[in-house]
Amino acid sequence: MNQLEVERIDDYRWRIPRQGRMRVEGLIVADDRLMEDIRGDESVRQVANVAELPGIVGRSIGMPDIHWGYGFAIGGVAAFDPEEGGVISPGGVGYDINCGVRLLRSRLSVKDVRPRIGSLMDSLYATIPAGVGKGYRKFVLSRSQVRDILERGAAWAVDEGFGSPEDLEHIEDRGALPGADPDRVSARAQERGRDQVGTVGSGNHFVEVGWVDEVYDSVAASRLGLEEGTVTVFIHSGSRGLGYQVCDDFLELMLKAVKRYGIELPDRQLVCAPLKSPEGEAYLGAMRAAANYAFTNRQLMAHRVREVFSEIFDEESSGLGMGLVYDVAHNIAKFERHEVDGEERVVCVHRKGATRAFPPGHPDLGPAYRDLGQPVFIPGDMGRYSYVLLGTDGAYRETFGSTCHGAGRKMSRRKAKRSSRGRDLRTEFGGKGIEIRASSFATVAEEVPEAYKDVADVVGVVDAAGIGRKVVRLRPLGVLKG
Amino acid sequence: MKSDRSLEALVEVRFMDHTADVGVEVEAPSLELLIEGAAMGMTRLILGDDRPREEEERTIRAEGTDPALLLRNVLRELLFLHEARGFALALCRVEFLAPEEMPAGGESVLRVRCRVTGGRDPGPPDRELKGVTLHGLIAERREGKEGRPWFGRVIFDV
Repeated sequence: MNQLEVERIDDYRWRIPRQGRMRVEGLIVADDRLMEDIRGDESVRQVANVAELPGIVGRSIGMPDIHWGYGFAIGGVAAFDPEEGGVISPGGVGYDINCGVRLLRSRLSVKDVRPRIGSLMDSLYATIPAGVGKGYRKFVLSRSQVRDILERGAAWAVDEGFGSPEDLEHIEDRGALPGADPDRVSARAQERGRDQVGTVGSGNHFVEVGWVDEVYDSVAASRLGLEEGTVTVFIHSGSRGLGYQVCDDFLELMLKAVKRYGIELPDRQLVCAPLKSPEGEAYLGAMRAAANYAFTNRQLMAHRVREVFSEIFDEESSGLGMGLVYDVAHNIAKFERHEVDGEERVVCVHRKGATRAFPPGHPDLGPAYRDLGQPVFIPGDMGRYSYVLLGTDGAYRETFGSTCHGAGRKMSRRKAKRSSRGRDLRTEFGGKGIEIRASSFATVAEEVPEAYKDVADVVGVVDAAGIGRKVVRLRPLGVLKG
Repeated sequence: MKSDRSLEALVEVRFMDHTADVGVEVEAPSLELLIEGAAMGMTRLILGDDRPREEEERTIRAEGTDPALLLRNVLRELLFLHEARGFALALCRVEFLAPEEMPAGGESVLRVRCRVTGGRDPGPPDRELKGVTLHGLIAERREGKEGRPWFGRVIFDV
C-alpha cells in the first residue's frame, strides 16, 4: 500500500476507502486548503493505519487540525468495540494523558485589565511554575496524597480548599474518571507526580489571559458567562511527568501484549491490547488515574490564577466573577454509547488531540450544560485568537461526538525556531498588545504563530461541517509559557 | 571513556524535523556507539548547546529483544534520570553483557550496562521530551555501508 487512495465526499469531507489491511474506511474533515496541508505530512497514512487495528468500528477519523503524530495522528478519533475484540492503545491517547483545556470567565473588562496586564503576568509567572520539569519546591505531595488524587481527581483539590464544589459541576466527568486504579500507576510515575501538580509544563502548554472580542451566539455566550469585552483565562496542560511515565510503562507492556494476542501492526507505536484483557484493563485503570491527576493539575492552577487576580484587583475572585466555564480533555479514551451500523453500542472512543463535543440533551453532560451542549475550547496560536464552541448532533452522529482541539501545527519545531532567529519575540508580541512570560524563550521560538495553521480556518470547517458551532472568539492579552 | 568530541568523530548525529515532535538519526560503526550517539543527540535536544558538568557517575542497565528496542530502553532510562532525578547526561559509555536466552525457546534478549557521567542541568533546558516513541524506531546494520554501518532513528514526543 504505497499511494493511498483518497476521495472527496463534499466540500468538508474526504474518504479514505478501505484498502490494504484497513478494516474500516477513513474520514478526514477538511476543506481544500486544509487538505493541502494535511497531504503534506504522514497524517492521512496514520488515519489509514489506525483503521487496521482490531475491533475498530465506524470510521477512523481525522479532524481538521490533524497533523503527523507518532502512531495515531494528532487530531485522530477512533472507536473500538470490546465485544468485537476491540483494543485500547496508549499511543491513541498519547503521552500526556488528559492533556486538556480549562476556561475561566470574569466580570472584568479588557479595559480594566489591559493597563495592569504587565503586573498580572509577572504575578502569574511568579506563582505558577512553568517550564521543563518545573515543579514546586514547597508544594510536594506525600505518597498517600498522590494516591488520593489518582482516585478522586479534582474533588481532592476542592476538599483541600483549592476551588469550590461548584467547579466540579463544570468539568468533564466532574473531574474524576470512574474506574481509576492507582495500583496500576508505577512507583516511577507516582514519584514524578509528587511535585508537579499545579504546574504548566512546557511545549504548547500555557496559561493565557484573554478577552471575548467577538460573539457569534449571544444567547449561548451569555449562558457561558462570556460577555463581549470580558476577560477570560485559558489553562492548557495535562498530567505532566506522571502521565508521560504511565504511557511509557504501558507501551512496554503492550509490546508484549501484541505478540501474545497475535496483533499485527503497521507501526509499532500503535501497540495495543484487547479491551477485554488483563493488559487492556490495567492500562485503562492507570490511564484514568493519570487523567484524574490532570484534572487536579488544572484545578490547582485555576486556584492560583484566582488568587493572583484577587491580589492584583484587590477583590475576592468570587466578586470578580471568576467562575469555571468548563474543563475538557483532548487526549483520552472513554467508553461511550454510540450508534454503530444502526445499533447502539458501548465503544471505547480514543481521542488523541480531539475534543468530546456532545450535543444538547446528552445524558453524560452535567446539569449545567445538558440543555445547551458541551462547551468546547479550541485554542489557536499565542498571537491571534481562540474559539469557544458547543457540541452538536452532527458531531455525535458523524465523529463519535468529537471535534478538533486546536489550530494544528504546520511547521516543524526546528523550522519554527529557525524562523524566529534574530527576532525579539517579547517586543514583537508586546507590539501586538500581548505580554509574554516564559521560563525559556526557546519554547516561545518553537511556538510562534506562523508555526500553526490559522485556527479560524480550522474552526470555520468545524462549524460548516456541523461538528461544532461557534459561540465566541477570544484574543490574548498575556501568555505564560514554559 | 570517550569524550564527547571523540564520539562526534566516530558517529554522525543528525536532528530530524517531525511536525510536532523531534527526532535524531545516527550512523555509527557499532551498535554500542549508535546508542552512545543517540544518547548524546537526545541530550542535545533537551539542553541545547549547554553541557552539564561531569560531577557524578551512575550505572544503568537496559535490555531489548532487538537492537531498536534496546536503543529505546537505554534512552528511556536516561530520560527518566533527567526528568525525575534532574540528572543531565554529559557522557555515556555502553558495554554489552552476555545475551540472555529466554526459557522455552523464547527470544534472546540483548542487554547492556551503561556508565553515564553528568550532573545537574546547567540552565533551563531547551525543551521537555515527554517520551521516546516507538514510531519509526530503527536500529539496524545496513549492508554495504563502510565505516558506519549501523543506522538508528528515534522520534521523541515533545
